[in-house]
Amino acid sequence: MNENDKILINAYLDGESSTEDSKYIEALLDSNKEANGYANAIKRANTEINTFFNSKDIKEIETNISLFTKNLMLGDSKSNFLKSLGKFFTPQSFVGYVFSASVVYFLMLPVNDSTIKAGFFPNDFTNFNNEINSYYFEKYRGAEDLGDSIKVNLMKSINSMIESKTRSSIMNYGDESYFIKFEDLSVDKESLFCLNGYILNNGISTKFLFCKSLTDETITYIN
Amino acid sequence: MSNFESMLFSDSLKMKMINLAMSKTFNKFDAEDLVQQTYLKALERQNQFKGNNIDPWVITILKNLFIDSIRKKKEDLLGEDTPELSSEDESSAVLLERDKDKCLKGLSEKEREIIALKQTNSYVEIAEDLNIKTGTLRQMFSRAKEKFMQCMGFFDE
Repeated sequence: MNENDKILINAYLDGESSTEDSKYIEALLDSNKEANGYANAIKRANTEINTFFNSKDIKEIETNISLFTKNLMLGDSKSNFLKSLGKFFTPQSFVGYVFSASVVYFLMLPVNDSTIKAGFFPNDFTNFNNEINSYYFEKYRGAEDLGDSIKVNLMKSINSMIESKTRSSIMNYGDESYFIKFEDLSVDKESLFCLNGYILNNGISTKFLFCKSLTDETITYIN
Repeated sequence: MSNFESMLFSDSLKMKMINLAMSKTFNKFDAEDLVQQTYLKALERQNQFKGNNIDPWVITILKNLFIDSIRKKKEDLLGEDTPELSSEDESSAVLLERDKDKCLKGLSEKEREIIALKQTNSYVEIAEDLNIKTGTLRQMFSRAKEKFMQCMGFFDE
């Protein structure tokens, strides 16, 4: 058995050899003990490799990615979420958000200080699981404060995600659905924590910073 | 749905991405993140895509995002102690899984890519996705499997 035979045996077992090559390999496997042993080892290797790519983990990823892509595909290209953000970012409110963002920024500055230990965040973020929870909120007719309603429901969803230690969720609000994903716990101090993440709606991703203190909670859209 | 989206959201591409991501990260959380980030990046850059076959373009995005994440992790780990793995109470099944992971990790990036893609694709399709000749691919497969078999000790028994 030479190197070319090994290549041909491998291709044969992968179902990738021509009729002529298949005949040659079948004859070789019948007559050559070494080639037969080699083919058996390849079969074992294929089984091990297939087990790796058909594991429970892969199935879980597939389920979660299917939910994720479903959310990306929903609706037309124009995002209602972005439209509602337009209402959220009125000139009057903008000054307030800038102020909130400044407060958050200054609170975030000492985050790399290794002396900060006890955090306000209730769980260990590194142990959050990748299951995707779904939350449903009714959208009432005539609601004009769409941006605020989304914001309130987003915060409810985010709080539920923290409670259930889940990194991702889908929030359904009326006919719209929003994929929410935490990326990082960027601040965790004695009386405040902030989580970075993004919200996906109709294929458009919007980054957010959610901060919660003993007395208040805010969500700031970054892009 | 546009033609771009039909191609991007096909089941076959989804499985390719998942298998590739898993073969690179060996961790379901990181693999899922990598696939999600790839979809977002592909949508963001859809104007840059030219051609009829989206798979090689998306695979390149995934590979680049993975390289970026490794770079970032290396930077984050600078100066930190690497934790040691505990070897207590490990069943033979766990050890076998660890061996398999170790042996797959022992392959080159390219070898792992072709093995991951073979789960859902033919040699011809893989050659097209990775822009290599079919003959070269057959050789690479053979070498990769042999390396894996040696690492797993299949020739020692």
